[in-house]
Amino acid sequence: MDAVLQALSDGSRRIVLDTLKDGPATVGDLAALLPIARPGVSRHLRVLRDAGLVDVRREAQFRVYSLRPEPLAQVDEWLGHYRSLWEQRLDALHTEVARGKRARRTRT
Amino acid sequence: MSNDTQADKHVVGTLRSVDGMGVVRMEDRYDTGIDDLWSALTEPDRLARWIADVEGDLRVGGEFHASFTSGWEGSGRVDMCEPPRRLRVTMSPGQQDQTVIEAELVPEGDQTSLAVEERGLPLDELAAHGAGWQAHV
Repeated sequence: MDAVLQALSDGSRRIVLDTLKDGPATVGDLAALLPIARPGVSRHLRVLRDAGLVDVRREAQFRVYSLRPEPLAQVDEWLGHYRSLWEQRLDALHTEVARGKRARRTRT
Repeated sequence: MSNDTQADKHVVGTLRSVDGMGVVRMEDRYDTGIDDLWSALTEPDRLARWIADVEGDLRVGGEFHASFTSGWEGSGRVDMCEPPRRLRVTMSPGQQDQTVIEAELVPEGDQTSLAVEERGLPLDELAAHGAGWQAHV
């Protein structure tokens, strides 16, 4: 999970994942999207692979990368638990703010 | 104010990790001034109506007991209090399930935006329990 979040914390790697959402791509395709040198692209791809976010397979002389959505679903589920908890609290705070306003109006 | 309640919803949730622990950040905007929102975040009688019953020493460094509306109960400590902008408390200080909750208020015209961050959430729980979160909590 930590590896997944670290992998997601980088802008270049998020571009790669966004691209792979639309379908598999070769290293060349991905490198063309990023304003960095090829070794940097390979490093990013390795981080994504280690985090389980991408799969790689060989097709002829190309290495083809594809998205593995499972870790993203896990992150979403984990966040969803805390998100709904805080959403309930923040909604209840809206109610309290409205109550405070009504109370002040009645006093004046 | 708009009648469209959806348009009034500004809750944004993000997740990142720091030192192997999870950080959840939520942002929302409130239809009131910063001083009023601060009072709703710090006065026990107001806190009780939306998040938790708190009892004890609410000064910086002070320890208090909190019973959250979610059912969680435990101790807390006030780490930072900069009215009316920043508030930071540590829940379960010194214990394994210690988390830090920080609130930041920023005035925006007649409204006030609020960002709440909870840090120190156990990411490994997910790896260990997978889809069993609901059963676990």
